[in-house]
Amino acid sequence: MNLEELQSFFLSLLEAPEGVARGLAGLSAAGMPAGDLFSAHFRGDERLGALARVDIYANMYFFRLRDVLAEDFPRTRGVLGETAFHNLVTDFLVAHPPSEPSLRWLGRPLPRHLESSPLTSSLPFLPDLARLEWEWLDCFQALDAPALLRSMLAPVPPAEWPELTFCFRPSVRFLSLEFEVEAFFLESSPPARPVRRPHSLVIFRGEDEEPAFFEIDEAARVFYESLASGRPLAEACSEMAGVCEDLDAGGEAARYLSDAFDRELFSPKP
Amino acid sequence: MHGSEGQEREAGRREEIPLISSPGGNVAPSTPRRGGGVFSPAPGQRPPFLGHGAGLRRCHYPDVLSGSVECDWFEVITENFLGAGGRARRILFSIRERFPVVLHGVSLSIGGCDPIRGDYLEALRGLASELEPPWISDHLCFTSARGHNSHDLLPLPYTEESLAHVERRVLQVQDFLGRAIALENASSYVTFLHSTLSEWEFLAELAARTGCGILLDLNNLDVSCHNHGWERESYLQGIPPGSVWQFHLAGPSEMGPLLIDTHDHPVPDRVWELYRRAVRRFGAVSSLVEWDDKIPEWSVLSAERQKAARLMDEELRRGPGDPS
Repeated sequence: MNLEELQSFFLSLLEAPEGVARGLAGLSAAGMPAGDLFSAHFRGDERLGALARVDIYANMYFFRLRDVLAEDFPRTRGVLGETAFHNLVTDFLVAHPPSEPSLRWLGRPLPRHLESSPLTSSLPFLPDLARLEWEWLDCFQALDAPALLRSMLAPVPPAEWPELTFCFRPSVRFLSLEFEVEAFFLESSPPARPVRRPHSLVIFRGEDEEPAFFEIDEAARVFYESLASGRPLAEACSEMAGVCEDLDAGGEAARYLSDAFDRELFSPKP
Repeated sequence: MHGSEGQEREAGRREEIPLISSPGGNVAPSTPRRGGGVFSPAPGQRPPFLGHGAGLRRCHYPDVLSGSVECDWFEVITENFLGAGGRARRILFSIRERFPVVLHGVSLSIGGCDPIRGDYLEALRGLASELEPPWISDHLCFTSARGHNSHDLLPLPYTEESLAHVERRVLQVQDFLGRAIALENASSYVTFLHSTLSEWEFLAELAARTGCGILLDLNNLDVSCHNHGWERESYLQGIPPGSVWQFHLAGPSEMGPLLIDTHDHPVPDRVWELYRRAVRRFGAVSSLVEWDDKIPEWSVLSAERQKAARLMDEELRRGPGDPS
């Protein structure tokens, strides 16, 4: 094997969900002379054989990543319990092996992974809970940006406001949930199970550098997401009006903008 | 779910930086804060001696920010701060105002065969331009293959082929960053039957060919020598004195017949003895106590750091004829 093949082979053994020996067996079953290749390259000694030495790396690989996910999703882990969480992580790492240089991004696919997990049949709120945990963490670690203040828009003539576009600060998140998982996430003695109530949240980073959230109605969600996608103010109002009938679009937009300025959700364009 | 612009940046660019066949020229040092400034050494030249430092960990932020700790410098894990904002970044730069801070990475995968990620190098260069670390370091290992990151420091076979491969990549990285980097000897638990060079021969030759520095982790040296039956003195003697930029000191765990690089124990006596011998051979080299897990209170870490300073002072005071 050349160096690239050797490293790919090595990593395959670390990623094997049932350990190095089973990983070798799996590769052999797929037609690779894995056992011979392993014996030809990896050195052990009388104290510990090569297989057990590579198993050290395999265990470190799994348990390091499991510990990171446990720290990033403590409530999800608490709901599942240790065994189910361990099994979830095993399946997750097979489906989503890490690809980013920073462990910070390891858990990003986990909420989506949970959506198709059999766990949701008995715990349908689990993807929402994981999604809130992830967005909360991502908000906390997001890049900084200065706040756009109302006073900075004072020089803009009113006639130009319909074409204004807005940038949200990197820490702002919009989250649509099917279940009321907030209490489950925040409270030390949460309710037994979150109730199903579709709703939306804005997560942002306050002046104390901690994440916080507030709930928004459907009109606000459409409005903010339209602005976040780069549409100008007038289009965001139209989009909101199109979705929410009998709405004073202009009045509501003014209120939503005011809320956003109060919470310093916008930043000046780069 | 729609996110903010911050989320739209998350994919990053993947591109292979073109191979550069010769090292980049020296970069004029930036205006330094305390202990800062880019260091681009001539071959065999060492960076300035920073003294005795500690790995900066989150649990010690309050102690460090309070201004009550005594420490010469700190080292941080690069990847924890790439593309990150908020409180962590603010604290990092607050600390940087008062202490030199070295960037120590774990995901460069200098020994890997995947193309080195351009977005990673750009982020590293950007962070370094703001933080002005005295040097940047990572590990002699591979981390990724097939685009998958193991988040571990995986061993290399030590052959002429792999040496040439790593040499090319080190030169590429150094040219991109505009500075030389230091590479650490990682602990290992398995070696390769087709290796033709010792680890110390590989490191020494790599440093000679590229001008990179060696971050000599004495705990890792001890762990690897124990695990593979290497001679510790041969390892030390095989490293050219001028190539060592930094020492790491840490404490491992025992797992059956092997030692595991857990960095979660006090520095053991045999590693302190290695440190004495290393100081006798390499002189006053910036030294750092690492503690990565089950991290104790600052006072414990500080005591280790002070012990290192005392031992270095004792060894440097010995005359050439003093018995060891």
